[in-house]
Amino acid sequence: MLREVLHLVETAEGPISLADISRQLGIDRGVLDGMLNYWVRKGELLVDNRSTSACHVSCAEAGCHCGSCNGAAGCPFMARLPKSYVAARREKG
Amino acid sequence: MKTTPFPSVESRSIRVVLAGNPNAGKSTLFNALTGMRQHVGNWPGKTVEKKTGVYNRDWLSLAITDLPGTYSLSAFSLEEIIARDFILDELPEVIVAVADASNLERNLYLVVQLLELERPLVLALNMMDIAVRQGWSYDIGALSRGLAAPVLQMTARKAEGLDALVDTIEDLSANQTNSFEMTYGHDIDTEIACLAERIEEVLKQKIVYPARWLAIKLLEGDADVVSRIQSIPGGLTVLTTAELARARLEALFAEDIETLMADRRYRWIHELVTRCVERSPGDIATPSDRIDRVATHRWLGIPLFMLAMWIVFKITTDISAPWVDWITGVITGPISRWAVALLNTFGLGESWVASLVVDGLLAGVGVVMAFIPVLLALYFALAVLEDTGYMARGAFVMDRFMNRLGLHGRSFLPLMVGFGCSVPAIYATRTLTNQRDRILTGLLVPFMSCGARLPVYILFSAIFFPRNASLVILGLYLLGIVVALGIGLLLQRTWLPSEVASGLVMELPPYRLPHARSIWYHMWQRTRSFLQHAASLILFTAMIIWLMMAIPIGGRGTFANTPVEESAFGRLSTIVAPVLRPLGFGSWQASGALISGLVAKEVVISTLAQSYRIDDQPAATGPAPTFFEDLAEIGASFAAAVGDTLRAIPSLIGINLSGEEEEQPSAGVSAALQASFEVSSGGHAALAGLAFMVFVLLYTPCMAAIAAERQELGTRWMWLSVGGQLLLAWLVAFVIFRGGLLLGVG
Repeated sequence: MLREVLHLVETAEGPISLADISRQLGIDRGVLDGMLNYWVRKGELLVDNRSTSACHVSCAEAGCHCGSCNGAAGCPFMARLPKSYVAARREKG
Repeated sequence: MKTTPFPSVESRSIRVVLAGNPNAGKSTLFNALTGMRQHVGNWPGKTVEKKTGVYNRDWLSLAITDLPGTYSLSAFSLEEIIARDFILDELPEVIVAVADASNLERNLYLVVQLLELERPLVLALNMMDIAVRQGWSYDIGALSRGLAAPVLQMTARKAEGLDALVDTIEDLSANQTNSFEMTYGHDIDTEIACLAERIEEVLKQKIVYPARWLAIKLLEGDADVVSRIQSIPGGLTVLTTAELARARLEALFAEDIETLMADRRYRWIHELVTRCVERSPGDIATPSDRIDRVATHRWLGIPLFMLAMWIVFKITTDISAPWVDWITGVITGPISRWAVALLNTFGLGESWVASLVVDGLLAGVGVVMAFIPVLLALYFALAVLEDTGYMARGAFVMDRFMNRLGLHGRSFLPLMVGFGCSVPAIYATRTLTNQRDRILTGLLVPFMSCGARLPVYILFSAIFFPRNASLVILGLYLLGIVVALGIGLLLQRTWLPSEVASGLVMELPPYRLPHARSIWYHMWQRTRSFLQHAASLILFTAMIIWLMMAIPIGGRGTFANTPVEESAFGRLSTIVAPVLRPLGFGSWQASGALISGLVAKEVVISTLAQSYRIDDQPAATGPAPTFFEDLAEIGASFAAAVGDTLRAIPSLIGINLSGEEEEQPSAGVSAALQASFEVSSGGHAALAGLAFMVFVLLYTPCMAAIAAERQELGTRWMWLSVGGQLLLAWLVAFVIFRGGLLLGVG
């Protein structure tokens, strides 16, 4: 089950929702969340929260050193999008 | 072996821990059991909250510890280590595993790991009321047999099932262990048994942890357990045995053992749940699932998202437009008059100070203020999309499409917003998590034709292409998109290479109704942030332009009282004009309009009118309005803006209630532009007009957009963007004008 989940994510041509994987593999959505977190812990998947570092980089490059930046979580411009996972191998290219 | 350590009816205390996944209702159960008899502190040396409490019934007392909510006991997080260590070191007499009944399969993963700690355990199936409502039914007996532990149904929120739980805890406290033993399959079970035997032999009396649990953890390579065993005499022998067992299993299964064992646990749980739990077919697809069948459909998803973005665009432009006009009118009208009147009282009404205040300061404030309704409208639309959960679907469906263009799915949003205004669109690139995507999208946004360019298109196409004006305007919008796609492809093949498309799994939240407070919070926070960052720069730029228009060079004028063509601005326009000559519009008036367009595209037409000395405003004949007349005017224009906004709402879906036709250009502007472009283009005014519009489309949107680019992309990319846009605008306009001449068009 675990390998199938990872394989599906790694070979997906484009985005796939938790509901899609749940339907395709017949895995409960809650369990699937646990499985994805397992692969995150193993380093095979990355939680797509790079915005925090990217936000700081952007502010620094823009010369914003006012110290008022609260990062992605406190950034008023960041869209509130849900958690997503990306395959680590493909991300690294 | 069952023992009864407390056979008498004397007061007795049982140490109990509550363990469970986050949101399983553990705290609710803890509160229901302990009431006010709680103590809240921290775990020793940790910042994780520790809650303890007491439950009393007759002679029975339960000393309850609420463990941190965890999904497993893998020692990966601090909470997991705290929970695991507490059970192993403090040896509570009973573990109450609290599970969300409607999410049982996931919750059982932790329950199985708790059972492997070999302490007496009762499974409390909590939130049964919700589970039953959702159509779940449970074979409690089979579940209890499968787990070799008592299973109770309860709803802690309603204090249902508490007595039965306490009774079961009391019964279980007599036990020293549980009889649970999950099978991982013959080969793994054999290795676990051999390793456990070895642990018993070597580490007997040296460690209190269950041997089978240690064997499982050592096979999984649990770093925390390995380090504990290492420090015990004889521990290295056990570790060597464990390594050999791992090697054998890895050779046999060609798989990482931790993954293998986790997988076996998931399979075992899945089989148990399949046997013991039933759910109604209606529950399998939630309302959100049913909506998503359309909203994220392979073919319907993208058109639906584009429709949503079109509505965002329309809200940003149409709903805000009356308020932009109102703010501009109030600032340039009553407020400017009041400022002049105030300056008159100090004898400065006719001085350069009045010009500075009205044409510099107030004009700059006007530009800043005019952004407020645009941004509020934009952020309102975005907040609604985010709050309802649709934004996640938008990012989901667009990801595949945009990937083909070398862009992230979320790039679509800033690009679409760019049709309204480049400034918020550039800020909206923050929705992208990858810097490369943000830079690429930020560089493409200015090619989306913003609303401020539209008046230029309308005027020029009405003058030079009266029969095909709409077609020309549509063509300009399309040209912007085509250029953006071309530049995007060029950049991803050069400076911003496309990263490998990543397999993306997205958790799509359930749809829900938006909350007014949340929407307002985000609208205000984002708008305020923009004002804090961009306002000072916009004001500064406006002052610079005013200064350039105020400084006389070589003419008869004085400071702040000089014809435009004799000001520093006019001289600069004259210097720039030859650069534009090959494009067919090399007059100083045209170049001046384009220079002022760097401040804001809104001023291109007014600068042209000013340069050609055309005043379309009716001449003031009577006395200046009084203060109260001004207030009445503000009130009346406010009411008109409200009316216009209400009329604009139906237009979002294509219903035009106003019945107004497009404003026609004045005869003065028409004639002056026609004559000027005839001269500058050598008799090919239409071609020159088209080239001018293309130049307006492709060159830098405005100073505020440049400020936003600097802030979001950095100084280097900002200059590249500005330089690239100017160069591209010149080249495309050149091709159109010269190409048209070569082909004999126009």
